[in-house]
Amino acid sequence: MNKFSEFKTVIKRFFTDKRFIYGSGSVATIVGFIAIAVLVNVIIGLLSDKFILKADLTENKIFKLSQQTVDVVKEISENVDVILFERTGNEDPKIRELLQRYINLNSNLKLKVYDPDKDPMSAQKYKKLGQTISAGSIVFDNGRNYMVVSPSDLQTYNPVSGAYDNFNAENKLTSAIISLSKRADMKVAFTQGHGEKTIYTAEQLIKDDNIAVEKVSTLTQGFPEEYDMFLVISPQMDFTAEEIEALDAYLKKGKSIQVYLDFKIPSLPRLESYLSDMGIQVQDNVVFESDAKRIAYNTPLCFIPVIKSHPITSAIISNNLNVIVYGNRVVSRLWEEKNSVKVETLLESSDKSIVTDSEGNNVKGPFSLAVVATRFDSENKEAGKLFVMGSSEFLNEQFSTMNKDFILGSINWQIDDTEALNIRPKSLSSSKLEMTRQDIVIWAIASIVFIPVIVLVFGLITWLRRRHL
Amino acid sequence: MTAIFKREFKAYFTSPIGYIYLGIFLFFSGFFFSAINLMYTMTDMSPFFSNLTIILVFMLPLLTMRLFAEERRNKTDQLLLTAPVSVFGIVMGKFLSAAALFGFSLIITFVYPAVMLIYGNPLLSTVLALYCGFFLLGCSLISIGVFVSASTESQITAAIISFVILLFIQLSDWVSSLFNNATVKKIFDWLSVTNRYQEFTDGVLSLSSVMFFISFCAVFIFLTISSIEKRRWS
Repeated sequence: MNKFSEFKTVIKRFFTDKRFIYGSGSVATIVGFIAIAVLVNVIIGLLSDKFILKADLTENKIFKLSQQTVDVVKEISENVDVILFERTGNEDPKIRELLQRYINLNSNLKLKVYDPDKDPMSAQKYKKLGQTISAGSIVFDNGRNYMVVSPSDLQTYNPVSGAYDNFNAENKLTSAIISLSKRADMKVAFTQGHGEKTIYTAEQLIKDDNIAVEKVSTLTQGFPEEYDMFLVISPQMDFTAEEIEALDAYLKKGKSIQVYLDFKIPSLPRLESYLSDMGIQVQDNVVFESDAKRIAYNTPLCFIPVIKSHPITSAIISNNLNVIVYGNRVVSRLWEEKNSVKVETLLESSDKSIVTDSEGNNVKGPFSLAVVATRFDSENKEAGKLFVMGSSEFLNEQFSTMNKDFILGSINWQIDDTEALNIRPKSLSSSKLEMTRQDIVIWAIASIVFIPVIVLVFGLITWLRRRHL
Repeated sequence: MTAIFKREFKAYFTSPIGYIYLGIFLFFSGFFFSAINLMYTMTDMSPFFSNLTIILVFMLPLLTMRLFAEERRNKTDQLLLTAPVSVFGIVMGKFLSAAALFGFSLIITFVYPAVMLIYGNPLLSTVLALYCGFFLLGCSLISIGVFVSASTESQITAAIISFVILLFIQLSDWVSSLFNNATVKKIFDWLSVTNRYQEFTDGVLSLSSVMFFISFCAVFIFLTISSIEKRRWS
C-alpha cells in the first residue's frame, strides 16, 4: 500500500512537474507548427502547379507555350503518358517546368518520371533499334504507339560559346505529340533491285517519326498503292520501261516519290528522261562552293546552301536553321509551270558557287540543288509530288542530324501536305554587354577593390573613433 | 521589437563585425561579377548568384553567431528576457537586424546591374527575381544561424555549428543522391533550400518557392522562440 502510494506520488509528481508540462506542451506546439507549415506549403505547391502561380522571368520567355502547342495539346482526346527519364540528382528543372505546362493544358496527359539507371525495365520498353533511352529522354506513349524525344534534340549546343544556347524543346515535344496522334498508318518504301544505296540513318529517321518503312523490289512488285511514298536512293542501274510506267501511274494517283541521285553514278536514261518530262533535269556535274562562309568541313564540295521559300522550308527559314549538302549535282528546273506540272526550287547554291561544264569551263552559280515538282490533274487538284535531289549524302549519318528537319519536312509535306511545325527555338543566351577591354578593367577594379575598400576604411574610422572615445 | 532591431542593427556598425562582413562579401561579389559578367560580357546574373551562395555559407554565420550567444556569455540575456519585450519580439528583432544587414549588402551590389545598364540591356525583371530569391535564401540561412546562436553559449561554437549546417544544406543535393529510396529522396529534395533557389536562377518566380522560404524562416524563428522559452522554465 505504502509502495503503491509512493509510486502514485512519483507518477503524479512527474505529470505535474513544471518541466514536463512545459516540455510536452512545447514539443506539441513545435510539431504542430511544423505540420501547419508543411501543410500550407503542400497546398500552395499543388495550387501553384495547377494554376501556374508562377511568373516566367526568362529573357525569352522560354516556358511560354505557343498557341500552336496549346491547340495541339488541347485536342488530345486519349490518355497519353508523358514519361520523363531522369537520373536522380541530375534533374533539369527547365524540362520539368515545361512539361508541367503541357500537363496542365490537358488532363489526358499524365507525367511519369523514371530513373533509367534504377528502373532499366521501363527504359528498355521504349528502346528502338539505334535509339537508346538515356537520362533526359522524354517518351509520349498513348498505349498503341510511342514517340521518343532524345535529350540532344531539346537544346542546341554551341561549340563556339561552349554552352547550350537554344532551347528547342517546345518544337520537338509538340512535333512528337502530332506524330503520335497522326501517323498511325503511314508507310513509305525504299526501292530495291537497281543497286540502290542503303542509308540506314535515313530509314531510322523516318521510323522514328512513326512512319513504317519497307523495302520493295519494283521490278517484281511495281509501285503498290499501299505505300504513301517511294524513295529512290542513288540507283546504279536504270529502271525498266514498265517500271517507269508503273511509277507514272503511281504518281498520278496522288502519291509521292523522292529521288536522290549521286554524281559518279552511271547515267540512267529512262529515269532521267522521266524526270525531264516532269520539268527536272539532273546534270552530270558537281557543285563547288567558293564562299568561305558557306563551306563546311574544309571542302568546297560540302557547303551550306541557300534555302528557298516553300511550305517544306518555311519553319527552317524562320528558325534560322541550316542544312548541309555534300557532292551535290545540279538539279535544274526546265520550267516553272507547264503541262500541269509546277516545279519549285528548295535549295540553291550561292552566287559564288562554281560548276565545270562539259567543255571544261567554269560556270558561276547560283545552281539549283533540290527541286520539287507537283502535278495537277484536270480538276486542278494535286496529283503526285516528285522531289529530286542531286546527292544522297544529304541523308547520310554525318549530315542527317542537321538535315533532319528538312528531310522529315519534305516527306510530311509530300505525303500529308502538312507544313512543318513552326515553333521557334528560344535563345538561352543572354544579351551581351558592349564593353571595351578598358571598361572591363576599370569596372573590375572598382567592384573588387574600390567598393570593399571604402566600406573597410569607413569601418576602420568608426572603430578608431570609438576606441578614442 | 523595433528597439531590439535598432539596437542590433547599430551594433553591427559599432563593432568591426559588420564592416568585416560587408568588406569580404563585397570583395567576393565584386570578384564574381568581374570574373563572370564582365569577363564574358554577359548580362545574365544567375551564374553570379549561384557562385555567391557558397560565400553565404562562410559569411552568414559571422552575422548570426553573436546574436544570442554573446548575450548569454555577457549574461545580458537575463536582462533582455526580463525586459518588457516578448520573446517573439526579441527573436524577430535580432533576425530582422541580420536580414537587414544582409539586405543592405545586396543593395550595395545594385551597382552591378547599374553598370550593366550602361553597357547593355540586362532584363531587369529577371535580375530582380534573382535578387529576391537570393535574399530569401539568405534569410532562410540566417534563421538557421539565429536558432543555432540561441542554442549555444559561445560565439565560436555558434559560428562553427552554423557553418557546418549551411555547408550540409549546400551539399543537400549530394546527400539526397546517397539515398536509394525514392520517398526519402523526394522528401530531401522538397526540403532542399538550394533546389528551391534553383527555380529563381532558372527565371521562374513561383509562389510556392517564395512561400517555402518564408515558412522555412518561420519554422526556425519558432524553434528559436521555443528554445529560449525552454530556458525560462528549466
